[in-house]
Amino acid sequence: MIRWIAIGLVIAGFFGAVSAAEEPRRVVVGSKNFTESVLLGELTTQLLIAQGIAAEHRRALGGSRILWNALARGDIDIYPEYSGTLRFELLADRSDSNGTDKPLQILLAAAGVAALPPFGFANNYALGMVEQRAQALGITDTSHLLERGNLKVGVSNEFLHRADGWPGLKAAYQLPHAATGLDHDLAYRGLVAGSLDVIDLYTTDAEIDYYDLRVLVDDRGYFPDYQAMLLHRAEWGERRPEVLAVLTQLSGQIEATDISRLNRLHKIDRQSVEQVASDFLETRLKQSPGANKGSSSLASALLTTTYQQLFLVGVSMLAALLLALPLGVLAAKKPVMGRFILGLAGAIQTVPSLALLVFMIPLLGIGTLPAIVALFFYSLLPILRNTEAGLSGISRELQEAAVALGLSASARLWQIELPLASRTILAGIKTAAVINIGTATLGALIGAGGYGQPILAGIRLDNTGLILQGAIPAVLMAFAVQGLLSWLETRLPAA
Amino acid sequence: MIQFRSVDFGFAGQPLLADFNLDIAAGRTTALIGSSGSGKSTLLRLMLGLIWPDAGEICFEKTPLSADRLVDIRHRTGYLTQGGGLFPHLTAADNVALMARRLDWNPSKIEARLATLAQMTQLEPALLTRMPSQLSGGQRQRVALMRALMLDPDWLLLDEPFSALDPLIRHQLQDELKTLIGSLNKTVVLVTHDLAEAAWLADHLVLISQGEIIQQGTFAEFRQQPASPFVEQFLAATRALPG
Repeated sequence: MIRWIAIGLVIAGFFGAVSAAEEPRRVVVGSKNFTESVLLGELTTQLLIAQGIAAEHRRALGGSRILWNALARGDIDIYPEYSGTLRFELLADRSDSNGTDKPLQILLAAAGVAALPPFGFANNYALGMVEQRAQALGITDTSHLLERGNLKVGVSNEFLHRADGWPGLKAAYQLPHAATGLDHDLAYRGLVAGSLDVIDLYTTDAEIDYYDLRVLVDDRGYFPDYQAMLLHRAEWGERRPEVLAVLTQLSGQIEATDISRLNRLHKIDRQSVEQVASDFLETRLKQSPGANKGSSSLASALLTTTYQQLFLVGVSMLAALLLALPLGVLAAKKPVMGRFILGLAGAIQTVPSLALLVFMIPLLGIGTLPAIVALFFYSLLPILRNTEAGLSGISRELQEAAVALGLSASARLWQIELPLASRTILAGIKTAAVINIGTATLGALIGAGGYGQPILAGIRLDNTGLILQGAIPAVLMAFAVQGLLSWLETRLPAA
Repeated sequence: MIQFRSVDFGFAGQPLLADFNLDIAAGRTTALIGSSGSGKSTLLRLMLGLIWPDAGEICFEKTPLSADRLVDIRHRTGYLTQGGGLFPHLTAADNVALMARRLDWNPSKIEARLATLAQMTQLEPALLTRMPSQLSGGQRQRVALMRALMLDPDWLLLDEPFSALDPLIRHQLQDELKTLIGSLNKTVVLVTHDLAEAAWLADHLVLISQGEIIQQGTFAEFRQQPASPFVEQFLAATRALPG
């Protein structure tokens, strides 16, 4: 029993150390997982740094709900949001049914959040089609879709479920279509390739010009106004007024044409987010950020993501080993409890990895810690199951021979049973490690970094090189770990 | 002396032994014979505390076997099974010396004992460095016998020790074991379904069927006064060579 408590303390201490390592005073700026939000987050971060305030940018953390909760929890301090999203999605339960009665500032205040004056542009939702196709079908307005029930509609996953998204739009126009949910950046590719006819757009998206898309008129006035603005916790009005004072310099400075151009520079012309943001700050606000400028070299980017990935995988695997090995022994020795333990671990494994990561957010916030905990849970079952199977698979004759010799239970375990089960156990560790490395790339979705970061950015930017910059090292790492463990296996006794 | 006193034992709801009583004399070789499933191996496993009786007791030197005596009894008992039960991840020498090392015997004493036992079981000492998988079946049983004898036990329990070996090797080992037993003066319990083996090695035979003792005595007594038609059948089941 004492041993179990000790192991628990070690694991808890480990996680404690991980979370304590994060700096408290630095301003943490968050952004959502699409180009414009990342650009706004970078602009905000660079402006702070230029004014001598320590800041970091946690980019592309996820959807609105994740950022909103991260702000409330204090995982991030600032992030760009849109008025329509606030009123109809995030604060929908606080406003009246039509959501138009109270001023936004009052609704926000009730949630302990405040907004800086808007940037100066609105990024509204709209539906869009390829110009040629829309022309051929004679569609200019959203209501024209009514007669075209056979058109294939694909919308971003968030839009599909938002209160101010597809469900409301479908009801308002009585649209007969069934929409497919997919990643917003992939939707453009589907549209251009012809596998989709209609998608949702942000009106400031660079792709509208680039792909020559027609923005359908919202002829029933369904979509509200989406003014972009920075959000912070209300208490910052008193705690960090200097930060807010710096950031109001951005208010009213970015027009719709500006942001469309910035989106295009990054997404179509492939300039780095850092470059686009620092150029804009220099020309528009006469700020020279100095720090954070330009993209880092491939080698140093690789070094950073490799370190992050190794940290995620290493810590979560170590913690999983510390728990799963003793639990596997327990499961083998006490079959009734074993069925329960294995059942529980099996149930955890059936939770999709993405869902498991997102479940961690309300409990542990965003960043490295929740990713490690999710990976830890994910690595338990293969180790647990193989430890149990390896021990239970030892023949009765050998088990009884060890007992009959008069060996104590612990001598039997360490000198006979674990060595005999070691190959099976190692096979389980191998499986867990490969799953872990693959799943760890999803950690980037909740701000944990690692090889998933270039992969996600590559998907967002349609940049295959960037995707490979994450995918190839991830595969190599999986091979290396597999190779290392296979070499270890040759040094183990035959079963 | 080992005694079974009113022992009940069942497995999966089926009674295997009911009110079973048997005295095993010290310093002699007793063979438990009977067909498979008669319960004879169960008796050995009960003696080692690998399984526990539902009722009754097993006494070593008149004292009932209990959890706190178990380790002591096991250290004083050598146990050899049909497959040998050698640990595949340890060399032959490590298999034999495992328990002695746990008991902190000094290395020179262990070396000396290994040499004595190799001679006793007629095993080429060079083979001791090999893994069990690198030994023949007969060599493995010799190593397993060395392991059973390592701590110089008072009791030697042999469960079908040679039945997995080919006839030539089996015959040779039976001869050697007889010499060995004769020189050691230990209490030996041999479980076998081979009547010839029992007759060759044991002073006292116990015929068991369905958990009950049908007859016990010397082989001569079995031949002259079979207790029942079953005993006659059992005796007759050994086939003479034709011609």
